Amino acid sequence: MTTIMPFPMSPVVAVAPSDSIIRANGVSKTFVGRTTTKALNDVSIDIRSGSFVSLVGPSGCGKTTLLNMVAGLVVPDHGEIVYDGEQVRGPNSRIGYMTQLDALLPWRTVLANVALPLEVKHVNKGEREHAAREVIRRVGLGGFEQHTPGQLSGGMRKRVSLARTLIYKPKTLLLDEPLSALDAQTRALLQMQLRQLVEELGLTVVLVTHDINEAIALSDTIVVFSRRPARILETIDVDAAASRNHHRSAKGGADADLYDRIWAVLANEIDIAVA
Amino acid sequence: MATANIQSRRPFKLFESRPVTAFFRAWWEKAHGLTGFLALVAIWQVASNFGMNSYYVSSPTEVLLLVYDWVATGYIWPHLSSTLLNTAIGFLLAASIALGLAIVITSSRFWERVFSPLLFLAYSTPKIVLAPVLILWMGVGRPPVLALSFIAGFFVIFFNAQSGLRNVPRIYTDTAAILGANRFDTAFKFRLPAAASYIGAGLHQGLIYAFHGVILGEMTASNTGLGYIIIYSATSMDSTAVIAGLVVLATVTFVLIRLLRRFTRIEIQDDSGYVG
Repeated sequence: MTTIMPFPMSPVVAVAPSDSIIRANGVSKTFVGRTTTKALNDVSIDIRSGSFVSLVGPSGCGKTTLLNMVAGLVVPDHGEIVYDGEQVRGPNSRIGYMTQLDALLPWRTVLANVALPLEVKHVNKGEREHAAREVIRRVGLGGFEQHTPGQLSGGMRKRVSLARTLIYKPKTLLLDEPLSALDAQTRALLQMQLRQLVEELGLTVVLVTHDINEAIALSDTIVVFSRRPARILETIDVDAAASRNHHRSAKGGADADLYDRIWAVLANEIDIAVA
Repeated sequence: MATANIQSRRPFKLFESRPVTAFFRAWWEKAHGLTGFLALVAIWQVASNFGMNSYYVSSPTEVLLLVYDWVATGYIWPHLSSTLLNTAIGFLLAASIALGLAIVITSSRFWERVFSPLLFLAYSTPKIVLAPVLILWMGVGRPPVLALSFIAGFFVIFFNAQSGLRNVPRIYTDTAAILGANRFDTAFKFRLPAAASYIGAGLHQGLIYAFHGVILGEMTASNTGLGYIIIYSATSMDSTAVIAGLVVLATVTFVLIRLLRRFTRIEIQDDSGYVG
């Protein structure tokens, strides 16, 4: 069972340190440009190793900023991010990060794209291509090794992206709306396969999504964020809240009560934001 | 992204779908481009026979005969090969240094601050005024020619590469960072290929500019090469030789551009759905 708790309300030792893989301690971030945007305000979160956590909240509320901090691409103004016992100070290459834009290199073949993480770690060619072929087969793209990303469909590109992330065996996946640009069927299929892969490999996942159904279908825990600057409004333990084995039905029908409960919290935030 | 190629009923055309006629049609279409050129030459020929002073304008037949003579006697080859060799060296120097500098400057704020004013100053100086200085420093011969070629080719390659590298989508450099790529790999495996179309355009122009730089150098600081032939003929009031030199020059430029078009067709397939 996963526990995520807003820091001010819980003692620091609520989770045994060995269990916690990602911890944000009161992080804040303000972007200064033509306008000043406060993205995060004193957010604390603790994510246990092996859990699947979804972050939902109004558009532009700072969820992506939080992921970027864990990835080490954004430095918090205040507070700190601790990953696997170490403070994150620069790009965090111990995590896998999949974004909405898949970041495949269009001039490389599928094989070369997937082998890239090993290539920049200077693993020799034979070894990395062997590993790449294996992981490509694993995500169901065997036979497409020599295609370029431009020749693939959106769903296939996501698989390549996933393969490229899995090849270097990160313990944690950060997923920023990775499936949002896909059609409904492809998305449902990939959701199931993603969940299965994650369970097989025992990964920790942090998923940012707008899709409440997706959050319910995939996660152990859902964290609901307020509008910007993001605060944590509610932390929901999915297994406890939904009638068991129902929220992850094959039909993709999420638990209606849980959906309503999350939507009620969110709708409130969106109303305020609009008014 | 796949583009649907919808076949619709095509209007009737005289030449269609027969291989032999298609071949002739291609030539016929090319001939269109020649007509304007041929008309100009014809007018020139007529004018030089009736009325215009052929001492100044020469005539197409005389020019052609001279070019033929140059080729037949072998007079042109040392000059032509010297020009081409200088162009190749000047271009390679310009390309390697410009690309290297562009990578350094676009990956480090510090070096950008150091180099930017210098580069801009050098860029805004008319290159021709450098010729006397270069002769002063290097004498007459290959060195000042190569220097001018380098200078002429350098900036267009550098500025194109710089804007290409600056516009590399953030997502590629972020990916490189998260994968833990070192500086070298980030430059050669992510940023340079992502900027390939800009760099290709810069190299394309750079080669032509380097060639022009060589001609300029040969006109001011050399005693071989096409540029030298032209300036030497002009100072000896030989209009036929000047124009014949220009004809050779134009032909070389034409062939260079054609070859470039063929070999620098760097195409990156559109990264579907990615905007930014």
